Amino acid sequence: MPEPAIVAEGLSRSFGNLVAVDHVDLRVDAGQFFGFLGPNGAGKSTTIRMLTGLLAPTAGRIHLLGLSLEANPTEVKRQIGVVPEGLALFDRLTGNEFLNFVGQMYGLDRATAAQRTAELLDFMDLADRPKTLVVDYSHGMKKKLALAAAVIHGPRILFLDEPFEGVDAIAAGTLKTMLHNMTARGATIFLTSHVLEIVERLCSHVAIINKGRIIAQGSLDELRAGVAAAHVNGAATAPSQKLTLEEIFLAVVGHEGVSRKSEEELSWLK
Amino acid sequence: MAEVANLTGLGRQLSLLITVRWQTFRNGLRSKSEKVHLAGSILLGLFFGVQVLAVSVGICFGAYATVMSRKWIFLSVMLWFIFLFWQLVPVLASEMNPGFDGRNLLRFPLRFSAFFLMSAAYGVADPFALVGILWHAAIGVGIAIAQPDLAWWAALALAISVTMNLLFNRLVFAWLERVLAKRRTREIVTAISILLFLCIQFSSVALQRRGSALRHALENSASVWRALPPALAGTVVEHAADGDSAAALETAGLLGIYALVFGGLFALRVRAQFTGEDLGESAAPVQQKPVARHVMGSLPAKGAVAGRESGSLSRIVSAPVAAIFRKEIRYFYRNTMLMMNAFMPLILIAFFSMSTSMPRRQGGLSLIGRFGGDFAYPASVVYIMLLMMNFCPNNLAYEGRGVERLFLAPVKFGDVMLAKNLFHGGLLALEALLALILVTATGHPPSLLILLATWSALLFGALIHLGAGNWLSLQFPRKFEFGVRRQRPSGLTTLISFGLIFAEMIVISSAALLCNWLARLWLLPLVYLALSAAALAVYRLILDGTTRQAIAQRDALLEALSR
Repeated sequence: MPEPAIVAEGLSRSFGNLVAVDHVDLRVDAGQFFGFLGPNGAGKSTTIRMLTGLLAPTAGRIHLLGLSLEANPTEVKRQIGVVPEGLALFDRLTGNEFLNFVGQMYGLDRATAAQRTAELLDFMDLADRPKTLVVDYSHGMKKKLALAAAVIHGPRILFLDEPFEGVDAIAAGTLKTMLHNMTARGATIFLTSHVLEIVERLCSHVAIINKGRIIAQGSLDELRAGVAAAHVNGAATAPSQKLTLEEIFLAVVGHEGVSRKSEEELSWLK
Repeated sequence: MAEVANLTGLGRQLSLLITVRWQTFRNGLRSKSEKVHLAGSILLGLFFGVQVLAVSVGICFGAYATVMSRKWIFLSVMLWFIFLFWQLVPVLASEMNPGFDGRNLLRFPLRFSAFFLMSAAYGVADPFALVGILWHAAIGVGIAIAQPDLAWWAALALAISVTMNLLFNRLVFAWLERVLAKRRTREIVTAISILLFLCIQFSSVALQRRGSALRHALENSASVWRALPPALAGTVVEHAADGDSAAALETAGLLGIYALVFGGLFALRVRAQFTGEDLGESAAPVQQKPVARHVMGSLPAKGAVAGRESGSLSRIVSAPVAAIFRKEIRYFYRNTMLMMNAFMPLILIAFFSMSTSMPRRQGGLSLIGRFGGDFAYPASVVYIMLLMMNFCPNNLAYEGRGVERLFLAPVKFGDVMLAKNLFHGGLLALEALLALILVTATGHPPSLLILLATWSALLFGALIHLGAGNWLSLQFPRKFEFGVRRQRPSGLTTLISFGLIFAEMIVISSAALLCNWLARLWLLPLVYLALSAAALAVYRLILDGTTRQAIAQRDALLEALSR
């Protein structure tokens, strides 16, 4: 059995009376491309913030690569790369300066940081504007820069919060190749996205969170089997063809209630 | 088909806008830091309010004396003073007034009249406008006490004058907003405003030298500047006092026309905004290459290379500390506000040095002239300390969303603060050195004893402030934007910083007085060094606790700085 890269046990986080994440258990094996899905406000970003040390859990334990995040935050952070929701860029640095800065923050020596910065800027097609400040980048360029910053130190786990949002199709294709190559080398990727087609194409394993609780977790085939079994138990017709991730997601999260609501309400819009 | 709502009435729209502003303010107070900021601001407001009231009393008395003596020119001078204060000080103190960014309201079926009224009314929300209105009222009270039958004329003239000032101010800021919409223009205008401020400072030197000539010129040109809008309210009262009601009405009408013209020009600007003018900074266009050239092969292999770099800085501190230090330098020279805060003391020291080097009969400052460098240099360093404290107690202000990066990186927050302190400390030392060169260049070098005492006292003060600044930065963080002036740290931070400076001055002065009383002034540097050693212990204690404090404050910090 492979060593788990990410283990979360009983992870909870409350904001006042609101329980954003409620006793979440996660296990992601090393080398997995893991998709973390959920509707808006389900607790995805809160979970990823806790897993990356940006937010303290109210309860629960997090182990990354066998190390407790609480006990060894610095050592754990050295091994992970993150593209957070807000990208966490320093607006008044150039892309070159920013990547050099991040590389050195992760302990790279200046020469290595400079070399990797040059390679990454070239790889991300950001090298042609060396004097442009990050504040003047487009959204897609900022996203690519944040991705470059997340991998500059060669992390063993990569957390990506909506990495392809705002990135053009060409760059997205290049990035997907890069991420696949990283997993092939043994890195673990933990990704959230609302674009289910991307998750379906990239990820081998998926967890779905709703209202702060994990409601499904496993490989795509396991989730398909689970949904199919639920259909049989519910006396519904089992799907004759392979379910898409979108169908699995809607079945698990329960879209029927939503569509019924929209039919019953807002009659003044008709 | 969906039913379309009717257009809401003007009164209803205004009331809705006021409600939403109130709700925004009230909801902002949910966070502890905003409550603390409000409390601090109220206390500071009380402090400055007392000074404004004192000036109001002076203006009221001046208006009273003017009416009694019938020297109406002084009424015009006071009105010009208020006009210049109202219009010029906000420009000098800020590129952008409390902005009425109504563009996000344009998605609603808002009437232009409501949009215009809200844009104009926002001018009253500016503290400088409130002060201007108060001083107008003070003139009115002074006139009414001196000659009660002029009260109605004064009320009419001053009300029109207030309207004219308000509309002119909004007009100026609406155009400034248009000009300053782009970041680069903003920074250029900031530099110009700094130069303007310096010109005003240096013009006082010219006034000292050629004061009487300027006074004569002003008196000779009175017929011109008294006919301009700022002074017209005074002319109305003068005509009324002379019993010439027709002339008074005519002048009031002229002032009203000026107000209407300014209002009309302002309306043109607001109309442009209302019809969808976009002043926002768009992102730079991206030149997209058709095909990405690389595959993953060239990307870094896994496993970070930890180690020391070859740069001289990293021989002293760790690579992350050196990286943050370099980032601070870049943020400093790209931030006009920080540059201004840092170098303004040196420019003013140069100005004072000029005054000091002048002969006494030409307006040289006799105190500095008498004591020379032994007074000028410590005074300069105190001034540098005062202004440097603008950014130490809120040293994460410009990080923006980058602050998350500091939490994501495998770096202790104590190291982040250490890097920032090294930068601020270095800047302080550089300024102290440059001030020494400036003071020495005027021919008044400080004695060696005073030099050593000043530097050791500076060390003591800096350590206290850097330590306290670290704590305050984490406890009461406030986000600042680049290129925008009049951004204040939390009110409580400002109060604590003032308190610290006051306490330091008491300690430093007491030590100096004691050594002087004992006739052992040579002890002074040693006393200050001993105090510095104690301050260093306190500083290290605070720095050690910074990482823990940052983790405890993490949610509040990210909320305040990266939203």
